[in-house]
Amino acid sequence: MTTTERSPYKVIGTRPIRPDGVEKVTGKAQYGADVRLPGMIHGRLLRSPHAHAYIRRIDTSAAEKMPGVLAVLTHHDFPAARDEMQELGEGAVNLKELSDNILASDKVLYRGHAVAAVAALSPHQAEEALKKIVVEYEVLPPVLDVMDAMRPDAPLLSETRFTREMTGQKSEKPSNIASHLQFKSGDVEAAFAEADAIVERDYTTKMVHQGYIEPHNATASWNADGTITIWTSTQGPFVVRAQVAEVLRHPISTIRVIPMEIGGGFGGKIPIYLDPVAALLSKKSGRPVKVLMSRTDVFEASGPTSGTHIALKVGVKDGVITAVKADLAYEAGAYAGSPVGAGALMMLSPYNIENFQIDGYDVVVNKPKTSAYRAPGAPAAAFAIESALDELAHKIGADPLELRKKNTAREGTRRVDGTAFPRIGHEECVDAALNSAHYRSPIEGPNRGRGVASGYWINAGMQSSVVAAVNTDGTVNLIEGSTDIGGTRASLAMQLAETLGLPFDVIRPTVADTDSVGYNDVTGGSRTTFASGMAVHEAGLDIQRQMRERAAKGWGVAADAVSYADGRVTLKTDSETKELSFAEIAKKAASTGGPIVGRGSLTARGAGAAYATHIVDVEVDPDTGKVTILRYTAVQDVGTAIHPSYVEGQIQGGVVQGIGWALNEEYYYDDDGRMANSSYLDYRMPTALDVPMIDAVLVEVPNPGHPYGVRGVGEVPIVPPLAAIANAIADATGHRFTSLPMSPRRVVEELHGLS
Amino acid sequence: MARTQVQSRINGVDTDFLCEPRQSVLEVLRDELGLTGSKEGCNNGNCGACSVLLNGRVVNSCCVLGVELEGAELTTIEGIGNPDKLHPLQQAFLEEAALQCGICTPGFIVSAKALLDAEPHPDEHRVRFWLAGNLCRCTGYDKIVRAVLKAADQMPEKV
Amino acid sequence: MAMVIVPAPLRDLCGGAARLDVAGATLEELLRNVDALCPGFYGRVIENGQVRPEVAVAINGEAANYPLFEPLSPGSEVTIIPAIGGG
Repeated sequence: MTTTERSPYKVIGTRPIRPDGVEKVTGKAQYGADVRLPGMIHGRLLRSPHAHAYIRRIDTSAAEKMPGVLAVLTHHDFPAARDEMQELGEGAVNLKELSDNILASDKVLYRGHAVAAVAALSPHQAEEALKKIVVEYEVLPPVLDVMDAMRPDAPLLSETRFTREMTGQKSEKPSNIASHLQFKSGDVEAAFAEADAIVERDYTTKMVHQGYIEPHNATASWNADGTITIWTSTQGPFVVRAQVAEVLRHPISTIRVIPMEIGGGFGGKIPIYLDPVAALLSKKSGRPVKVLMSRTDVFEASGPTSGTHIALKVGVKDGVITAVKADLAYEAGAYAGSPVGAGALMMLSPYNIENFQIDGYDVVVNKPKTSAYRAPGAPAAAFAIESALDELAHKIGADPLELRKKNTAREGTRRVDGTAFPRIGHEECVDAALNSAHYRSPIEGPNRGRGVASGYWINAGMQSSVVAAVNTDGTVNLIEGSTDIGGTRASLAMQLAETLGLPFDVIRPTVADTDSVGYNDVTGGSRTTFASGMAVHEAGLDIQRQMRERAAKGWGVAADAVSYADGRVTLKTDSETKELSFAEIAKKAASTGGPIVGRGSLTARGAGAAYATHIVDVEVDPDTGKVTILRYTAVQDVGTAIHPSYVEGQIQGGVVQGIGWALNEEYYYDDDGRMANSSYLDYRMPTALDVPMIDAVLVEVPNPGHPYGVRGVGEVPIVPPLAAIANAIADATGHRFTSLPMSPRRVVEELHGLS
Repeated sequence: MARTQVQSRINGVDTDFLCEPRQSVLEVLRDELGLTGSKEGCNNGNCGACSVLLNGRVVNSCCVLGVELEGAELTTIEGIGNPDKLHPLQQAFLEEAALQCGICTPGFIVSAKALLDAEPHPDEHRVRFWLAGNLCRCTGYDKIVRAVLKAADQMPEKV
Repeated sequence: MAMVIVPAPLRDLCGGAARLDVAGATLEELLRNVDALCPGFYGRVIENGQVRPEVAVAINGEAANYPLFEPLSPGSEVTIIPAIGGG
């Protein structure tokens, strides 16, 4: 449902069939693993069975003699990497760590860490050859949990890692704590001393995976002229190009990345894992090489998100949240770079709180290097604060939504970094939740309960570049560089149709490769419909201008004497009105100055933050511990919904990922650092049978930073569910769960005091 | 490894192929026959992205060996509808925006077709139960279930 | 004048001040002017002509890859925040 009033738009807000839809429902769409090239062979990687070990020796001689084997690779084949940070797309990466994570050099830091690769005529031959590679390890004790890793006597992942402070200072001794950050304001201790009620608890979440159904893949051809072509599923082909260029020390201009259809990413398909391996295997074998991950590889060796430990203390006085003290420790995985900064920045953003101190710790552990996962860092932080607020509301006898409304951040409220918010929509979300049929309905029956929670995500702008070429039949080819992960061909084509006053179906969007369109940042940060949409709008205005010039020239008047509206150029004088349609001008382009091509290329500003408030009803079976989601309503300020179905889809998908995170999903490790549940069967993401329909309530407060009011919508839906469900379970059982997942086993253990 | 000749009927076409005994139906389809509409998500029967109809019954093609296709009739996503005349399920998936990334979509459509072939008018719970062997990480299943129910509305009564 | 909001760990550099009103037509000029008041501040934010990899600059709350010549309008609020990545 939407709360929109009459729309000023003709195309925006409608629900056309996506341009790439037919190819996808008929199985014709080409994803990364579907690439087949003449002469192509198959690459596979050997992975460490140990979570922490020195590599003393690798002997590949037997593997090289195996049938069908054309190339074998170890880290020695990579150029030496510089130990320095570089901005390569979404955030800076350490080049040596980037290279070491792709193929380990001297040390393996997690089970599944790749150590060698083979290319052979068939995948099975490659797998058999891997078994012949001999690796001598000196096994070290692993450290797997964030709190264990912070202890002074913990095994160190690196002897040369010191804790960095925001002041630039470094710790005296090496540490697994890579960095410490802090936000602070007011007098926290004094505020606690005056508080009416205080909640103080530790909250923990486990490492979880994005769970995209398509495993990572890369096919590369090292061409005879020294250029490299890569076909892959990625959220950012230009990031792949930049990172491959750095790892291989190969000129960026000689690398072409062709983005195939992508089978899900949620942040996990921003880093590279296989591309340089495929490229070097191709160089060595003289053949195009396709490399695929197995599902177990994806779990063990791609980039899940952090397990976390958050120690939180919150105080209220007269219904006002007056003090917050929070220590956030996030697992970074094998190399530094957890999203703890985002968690710390965003956890209090729905609220106006005067006194706080938030400390964040980025901690390395012997697990895969984490990467982005939908609103990275925010869900765990929201789990903590939104659970605590719920408990406080009960303590002081307030309605949990009314407590949130009373303390809401508004325009002018300062975020924890000190910035004043522009116009934001949190209060509107809370109001919509308060007034929803769901919240006003009773929750009845034994073992049933209701929970609410809010969430915030900052959203990104970044760089986008598009070209729109007008065809002689009046259609327009829209060439864009943002990979389409969930319907952005549609949302971008709709914005161009709106700008040009044309029907949706005359716009033909294509996602181009890195040689064929200007630079585009990743499809991530909820930015594509916003930022690439701005570029599309700019390209549309460029076409409008050229259309006016062509028509004016034909009529012998100045371009500013004519106007463009509704797909027509019009000249109005006192005596007459002349008109030319878009199609008529397009048809005559050859004789009026040549092809009409619009361009839009920009760094988008004004993304505007996203807010959401969720309501969930659950039933808890006290005997089995199973939690059933009975009803779920997600309210979100979405700016303007370009294609409401896909906006709802983002919200529904994010909610269900959140349900999985809350109730079942976790990386389950044994003491030696082996993930015990590295299959879908054991990792157990939600199925269709586990969830109800998800009611997405779209609150449309147009974003003033975008020509059509677009606000990024993709990430914030995963922020509230963890706490909303914990709060519902507390309401149902009277027991407060502070550790995720609230799996049947944990629920039974805690309800019956067995843990 | 020696390859075995197999005679089968795939999407209504008599199809002979050679495969190694260790190759799964999914590998045969994708690597030998170029039918890449069936997707590999897990290769152990958990995700359903490789669902096909083997003699009319839904199976995970990653868990059946290619040599087992001898004398069998197989329908893959490539054998369901076509761009000129989509199957009602395919049309409903488009209209209901029941796909985001689309990688799980072929498996869902194959699986849902088997359901509607056997039970033209299932209720929501039945659809959810039937599709529990197909994982989708993008949509939260809401629009997929709606699409299947919408397609079911267009199914003729079973005679 | 723009307002620079000093992150807690850098306040010691600035005599404990949490906010500074400083002139500057661009980010570079602004940070240089802050450095004149709070010696060492510039180097905590900028390294080799770029924003240091572990931090980000937010202008009016928006974190972005701002170039140092990004023009600042009067009344802009500039904060130093941890680097953020989106999914």
